[in-house]
Amino acid sequence: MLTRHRLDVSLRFDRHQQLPDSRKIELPDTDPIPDLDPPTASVSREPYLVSRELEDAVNLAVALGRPLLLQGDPGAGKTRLAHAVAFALGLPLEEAYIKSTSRAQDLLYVYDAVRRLYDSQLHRHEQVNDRGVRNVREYIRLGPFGRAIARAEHGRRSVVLIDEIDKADIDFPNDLLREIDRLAFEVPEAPGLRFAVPEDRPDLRPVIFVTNNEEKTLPAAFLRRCIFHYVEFPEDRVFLNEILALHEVGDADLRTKAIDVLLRLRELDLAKKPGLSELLDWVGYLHMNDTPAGEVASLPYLGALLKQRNDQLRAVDRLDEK
Amino acid sequence: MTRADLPKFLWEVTRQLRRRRLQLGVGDYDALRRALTAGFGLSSYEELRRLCVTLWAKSPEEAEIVLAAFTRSDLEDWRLPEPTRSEGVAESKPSEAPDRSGHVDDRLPSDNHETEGDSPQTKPITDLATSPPSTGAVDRSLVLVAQYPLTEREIAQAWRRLRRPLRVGPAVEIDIPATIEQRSRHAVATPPVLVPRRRNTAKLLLMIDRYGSMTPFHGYVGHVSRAIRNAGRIDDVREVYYHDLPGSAANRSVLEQVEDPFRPDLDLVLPLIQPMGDGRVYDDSELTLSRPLTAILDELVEDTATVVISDAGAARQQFDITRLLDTVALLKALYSRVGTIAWLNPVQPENWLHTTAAQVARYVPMYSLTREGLDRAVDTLRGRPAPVERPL
Repeated sequence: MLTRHRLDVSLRFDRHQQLPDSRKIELPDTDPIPDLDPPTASVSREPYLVSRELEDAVNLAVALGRPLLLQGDPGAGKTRLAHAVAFALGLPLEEAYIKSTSRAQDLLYVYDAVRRLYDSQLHRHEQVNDRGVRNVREYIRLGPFGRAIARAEHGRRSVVLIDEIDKADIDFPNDLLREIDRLAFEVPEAPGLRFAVPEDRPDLRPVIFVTNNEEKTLPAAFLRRCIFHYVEFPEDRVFLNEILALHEVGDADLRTKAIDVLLRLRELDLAKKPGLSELLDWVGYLHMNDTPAGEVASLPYLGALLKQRNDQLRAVDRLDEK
Repeated sequence: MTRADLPKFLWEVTRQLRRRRLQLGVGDYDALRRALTAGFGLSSYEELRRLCVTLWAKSPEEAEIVLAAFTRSDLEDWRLPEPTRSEGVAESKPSEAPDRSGHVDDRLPSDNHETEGDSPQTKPITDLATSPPSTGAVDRSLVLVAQYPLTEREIAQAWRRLRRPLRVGPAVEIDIPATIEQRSRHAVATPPVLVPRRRNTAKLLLMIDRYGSMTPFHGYVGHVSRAIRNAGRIDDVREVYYHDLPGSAANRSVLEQVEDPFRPDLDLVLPLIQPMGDGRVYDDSELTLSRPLTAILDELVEDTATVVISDAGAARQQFDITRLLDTVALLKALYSRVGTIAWLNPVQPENWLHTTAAQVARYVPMYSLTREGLDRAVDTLRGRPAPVERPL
């Protein structure tokens, strides 16, 4: 039985949990991963308001051991969710930001053949002990997903974020299928080197978040293994108000007025509708500048909300009309 | 897992979903079973529905389909697995069940009484009808997601195979065989040989016929071209639009040399037809932003895969020798720049017979807009020889 076929109900993400402003969490991005007493770093709380559906989707993904595929408009808060969940669960967050040249193997490990070759040519292999060019492990750097699996071997759990998976080559998601299924991988360059989440320990499985900007259709085989959640823009005033309050916009009047403007802008036929991240930027700046709530309707600092000239002209035109 | 383990309505739901071509398999059922064991989706029918959406739908459109399938199915059955799991529901169930049956018992006789009492009376309608049926609320049982003969995923699967991996960009990858070879040849320390990473450099030109007899296919063709654009890492997908044909053949006079005007082919005058030189294509599907055909042709490189999506006269069941002549001129113009062309025809092949399409298919590989047709079109574009009767 594969690890992923076991249920794990040991971990539960609770959206109402009271969290401290910052907490000490194991430092991600360490290689090799220490067996005991890993270094920690202070991580500050991620202000994030989780809807009930999203909470369920996160818990379902954890219980079934499947990656949670988050889709939605840019700026809807897909990436931030991984940060918020990692903080709430107190787990280190291993981040993989995908580029168009990323390969699936980079998530697991990178073998630095060039450095090893240089070292061997410069006769560094005369060093004693197990260090130096003869030790291939020195030239293998674990990637984010690889570190999460290696950390599980030491009995600790991680959150993995694979951000913007649609930017990579089409083979990328398919190349990860086996590793996602088995939560184990071998390093062919170093015979015998293998990392795996212990098979009888579903409670050590990394919690995987995958974000997708819908630029490309993902392969069906990859989708089949995921839990899917579409992060929608919250059209609900109360919810938006709570989000702004969470981001320390204290002025209630400013919040209401700004939400009014945003919802009206979203009704217009714009090339790019302003999303949540734009709203937070804009209101954050208005708040910092102590802009009176009455001036919000005249759309100050519109560049933070609308990024296209035509959209800006249209917005000014329409909102003045009313 | 036996069939009896899951409530009956789930089978109905699955049947509906599979009909909408959501390929649910045993694994998906297993996921649902395990999620239920873990305590998800048990508290209410609503929860179960949301659980299935999260597990089975992989896009907002699919979520809509799953929701609709649930709304249409009979929900009473979801009481079966409850008592064994969560306590709160188990308590409420016994109290609710007799209550409900009591209601039913009460209502049936009383309904009968009322109808009996009411039947002799007729009430004249004095006012206008009070209100028209409301359309304010969304009926969730209706699936408002367009269903095309091929899903986006199926189209994507076919087009993923169109690739041309080339090493371009900065040299970042070490070429180990070349490095070893170089070192053994020089017998001294040499720097490693670096090569750029592989990228898909496939280029694709879509020429899409619009309006006229293509109007009924606009939705589907739009869906196909969107899916192709989103499908793989095709380096550059270019779409141009035209109506019927971008232009006409330079020398229509060759038609006069066709000896038998009733013989529906141009084989005899084929060498005389000039490639189409002046024509206009459009950048937008509404055919407003025009540009000369030659500008598009000049952008083509030898290995640009070219796809024409048009019914070639098959939709109207017509044969038009002038259109055939113009089409051949267009194909000649395209073949002068690119190696491979595939023609996708949204009309079923049975209906090509005796139309211009059947004749066009003698000169260029033409496929129907089905899964098999797409697969074969991609094969052709990848370079597999596609025998046609009279290659141009």
